[in-house]
Amino acid sequence: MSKQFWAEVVTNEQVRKNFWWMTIQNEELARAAKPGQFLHIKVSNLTPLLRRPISIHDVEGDKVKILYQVVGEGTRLLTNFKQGETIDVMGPLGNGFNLDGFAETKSLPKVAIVAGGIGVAPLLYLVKSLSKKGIKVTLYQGAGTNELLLGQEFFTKMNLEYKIATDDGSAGHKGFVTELLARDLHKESFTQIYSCGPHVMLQAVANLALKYDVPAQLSLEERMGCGTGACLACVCKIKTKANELGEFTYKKVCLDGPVFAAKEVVFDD
Amino acid sequence: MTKPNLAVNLGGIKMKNPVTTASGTFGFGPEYAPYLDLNKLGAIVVKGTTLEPRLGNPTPRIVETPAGILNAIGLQNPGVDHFIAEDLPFLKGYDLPVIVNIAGNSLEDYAEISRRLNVAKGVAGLEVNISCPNVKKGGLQFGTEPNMVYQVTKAIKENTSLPVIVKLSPNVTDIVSMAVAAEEGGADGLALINTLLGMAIDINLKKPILGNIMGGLSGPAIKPVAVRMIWQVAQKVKLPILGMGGIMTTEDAIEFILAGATAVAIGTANFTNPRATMDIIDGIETYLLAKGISDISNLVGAAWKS
Repeated sequence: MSKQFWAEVVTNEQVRKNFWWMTIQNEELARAAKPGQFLHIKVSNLTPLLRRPISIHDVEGDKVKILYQVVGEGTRLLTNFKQGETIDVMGPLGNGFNLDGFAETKSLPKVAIVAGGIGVAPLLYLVKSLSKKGIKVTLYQGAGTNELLLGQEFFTKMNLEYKIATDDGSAGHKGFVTELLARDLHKESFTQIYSCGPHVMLQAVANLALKYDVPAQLSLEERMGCGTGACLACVCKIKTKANELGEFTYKKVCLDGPVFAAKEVVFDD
Repeated sequence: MTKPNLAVNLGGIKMKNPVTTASGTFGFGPEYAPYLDLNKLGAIVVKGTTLEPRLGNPTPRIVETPAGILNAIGLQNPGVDHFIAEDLPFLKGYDLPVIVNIAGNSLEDYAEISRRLNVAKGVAGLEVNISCPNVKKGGLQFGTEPNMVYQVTKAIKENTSLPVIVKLSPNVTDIVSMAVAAEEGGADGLALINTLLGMAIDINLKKPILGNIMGGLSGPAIKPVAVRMIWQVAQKVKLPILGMGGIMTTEDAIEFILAGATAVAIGTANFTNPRATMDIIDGIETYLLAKGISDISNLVGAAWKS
């Protein structure tokens, strides 16, 4: 099965300042997409030269939705796509989140999902997929301000525990979203933690997961070249099996990831 | 008109068409298998291989520049023994000459890696990297001294009967003297150009963007330099040339062939269009048909041959 598709742009609209939603239509792509995977999107012919890797935000029927932040020329060009136009995407790429391995427990499995900023993008599809499997979800979402809690309007309507934090206190807890998680880990027993967001937040999640011995899956990102696993540009440091201190290897975020087990990730700081 | 002949012979490597992949952009085969039929390629040049496994450079390893990219991967690869045992078998199932790009820190490295690949089944030729700007050699830059180019070529030829294609660095004052040195060392062919040494600075962080500080520039931005160097070298040495450097389209490929390239390698273009190689193979055939040219070799160097 080829992983390159021409999809039709159904909608492309601004959600907030610098944040946009695009819905594209391609049945084969939609059928193959799993939570945590991403699309590598062609935005121009010459400059910028490279495709842009954007997480899959949601899938419904034959449509795939992305939520993207305009941070530079590439993402700015994405905003120019109009309804009815064709868009060239590679995907779905990456390993995606692991939704299996929930051992039979006496009570229903409970998971925690931790989202920071635009990191919430791949987590909507994850939330929906977990809920479909009857798994109870607690979603911790953090952002700079209330306005930047993207998707808030969906999450409040969904059947999950929803806890928010903002840097400026304009909504929910004033401070980091990981502070909310830390409080709950005292009393909750989560089967799994899933997370996506700024690197420092992922590090905090990894530390908490280690401290409370909860398996955690982190979605990483790195500047990407080919998106196929060929060029070795998008690597991240992963502990080698021997697990000696300081021993690591480089794994590809586009092919081996973007999701990695928290206890394998080497954080430099 | 009957179908034009696309087959070429690159220094002893028989290719069904003149299109191959640029080392470092196409992995070892499986990475692009979901996008195209590997059997259709004229050849595959796999990722640069070294004697010992290499970790590679810290990130960021890639940055965009106008009409191009800078890369500083640092030759991350699992080492030649792992390549022979684990990566080469995948390619044996395909009708595809496998050209292995090799790099080393010393003449002994190059000699030893050539020895090991010489006895590996399924290798059609060697492409010798003497110019990767991303590898710290402790002062030794094989590709910038004609005498070193000669020594490396000779050392490799003494240790293998495989065709040896020497990949030249463009970061030199006189590319022709490097080409002549490789020819005198016994090279069977030349590959040019490798990437141009460059860098980029983040104006907010006020620091170089690449983890390695400097990297290799590739993509459309370097095409005119590549065409010029092939034009110069092709007129001074008799060896067949594998031309590369910013080829994105059929038209680009034809330009390189007219300048003197017997075959072309597609690299950075694969990142934008994973099927670039396929499009260019088809495009060359269409071009020959449209122009009534019966054989691709009629075009090699036609821009300067009378």
